[in-house]
Amino acid sequence: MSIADTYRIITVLLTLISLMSRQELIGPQGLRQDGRRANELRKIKCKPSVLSQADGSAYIEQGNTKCLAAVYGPRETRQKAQVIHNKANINVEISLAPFSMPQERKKRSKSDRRLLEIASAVKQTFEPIIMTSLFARSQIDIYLQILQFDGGTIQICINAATLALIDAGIPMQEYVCACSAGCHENHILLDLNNTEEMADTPELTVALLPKSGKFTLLQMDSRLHVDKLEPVMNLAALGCKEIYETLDETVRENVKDLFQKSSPY
Amino acid sequence: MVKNSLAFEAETFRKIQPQEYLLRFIQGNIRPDGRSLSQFRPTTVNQSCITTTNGSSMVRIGNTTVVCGIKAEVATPKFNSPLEGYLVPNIDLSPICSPKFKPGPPGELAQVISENLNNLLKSASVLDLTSLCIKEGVAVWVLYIDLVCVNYDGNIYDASVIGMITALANVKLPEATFEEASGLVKATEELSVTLKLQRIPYSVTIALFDG
Repeated sequence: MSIADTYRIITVLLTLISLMSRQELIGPQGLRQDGRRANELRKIKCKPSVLSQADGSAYIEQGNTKCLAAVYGPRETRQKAQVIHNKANINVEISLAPFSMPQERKKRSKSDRRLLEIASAVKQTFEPIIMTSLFARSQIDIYLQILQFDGGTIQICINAATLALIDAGIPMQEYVCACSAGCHENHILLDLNNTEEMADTPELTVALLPKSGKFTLLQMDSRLHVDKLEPVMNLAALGCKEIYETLDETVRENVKDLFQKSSPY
Repeated sequence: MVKNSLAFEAETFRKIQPQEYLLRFIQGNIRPDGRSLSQFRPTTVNQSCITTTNGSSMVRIGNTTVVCGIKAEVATPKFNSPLEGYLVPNIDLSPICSPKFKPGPPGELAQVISENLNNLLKSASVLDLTSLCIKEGVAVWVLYIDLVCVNYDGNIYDASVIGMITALANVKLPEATFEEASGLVKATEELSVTLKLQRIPYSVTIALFDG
């Protein structure tokens, strides 16, 4: 066994030991490891129009997870095979920076299975929402770059993409807001971070259209008792609505800023 | 009002004849964004911004933005330098930063910059590599310097150099000791060791336009 392997094993063992001693994700006072209550979201910081080269961009932080989104489009389709005669083609690419993972450096290539799956989920979420029939034969590219990872990939990608698409001025039916929720020992937790995700809590990610109340994405990779499904879904939906308030406020402030800057007075 | 059919608006002129457009400005000793010929764009550096790394920084030169993250791992040293650790710089120029870049494996520009950064670290002896040694011939620290360009607006080389050096300046490593008995490297949970940079290179990029 090489030195690198043994080092890796030690890191894994240390993490496992620390996890086992902190298996209580929610303490007796109802506080989680990072001081939140069961139904509290992580702190959200978001800013649109951060990149000058992209048509639309956004930077969003949910707790310790940081994501940057760039939207290019509608522009000419790169490959003839992807041209759709009556709609725009939506292309989503997610890349994880090698230094973003908390444990070891992982050079996750763009064609990594998990990332492709998430990109496909994001694409399917936005396809019915973006008014693609207005831009036939063109392509809308959504690039997502995760700079720091602390759980909640799908939700932060969807939220960042929504903000970036609005910044790009691409017509959409509504905002799409996403949030995750899980169930641990009869407590329903909102917005799981990496430690909570790794501790085998069943996690459900939900994407919601806030005004109409429709769910556009429901994703879960673990097992959850069917009785728990409804309360978890409802809590996640509430989380989505809260995220919508934050995103909407940010967009309105940004537009106000733009008006003031472009006003001749 | 009769418009001279050969007179274009500035934006159109810029798209049709970019060279001429630039030449007109330079002849007046000024550049399209108002800078003088030898003026740098406002540069900002933000250190230790990514907490999952051992060291990180974000650099902005005007609109060009580069995020640099350094992760440390243990590895066996190279055969002909058993006392030295090593640094592996790598830049990622992806379609997110500019429509010029296509998705896929690293293109020519990314590879050239990565190689130049590697040569810079070696030739300038920025870091004393023996300070990365844990146990001679058995275990050393290897620092992976990953740069991600998020916005490409020219002068990526200067931005990467600044990013790399400022990230190296705030790297924090754990104390590592090699245990003979078990053949394992044990590291403390606390990150207390900082790197001492021997030399700090600054880079400036100059271009020649039409003599």
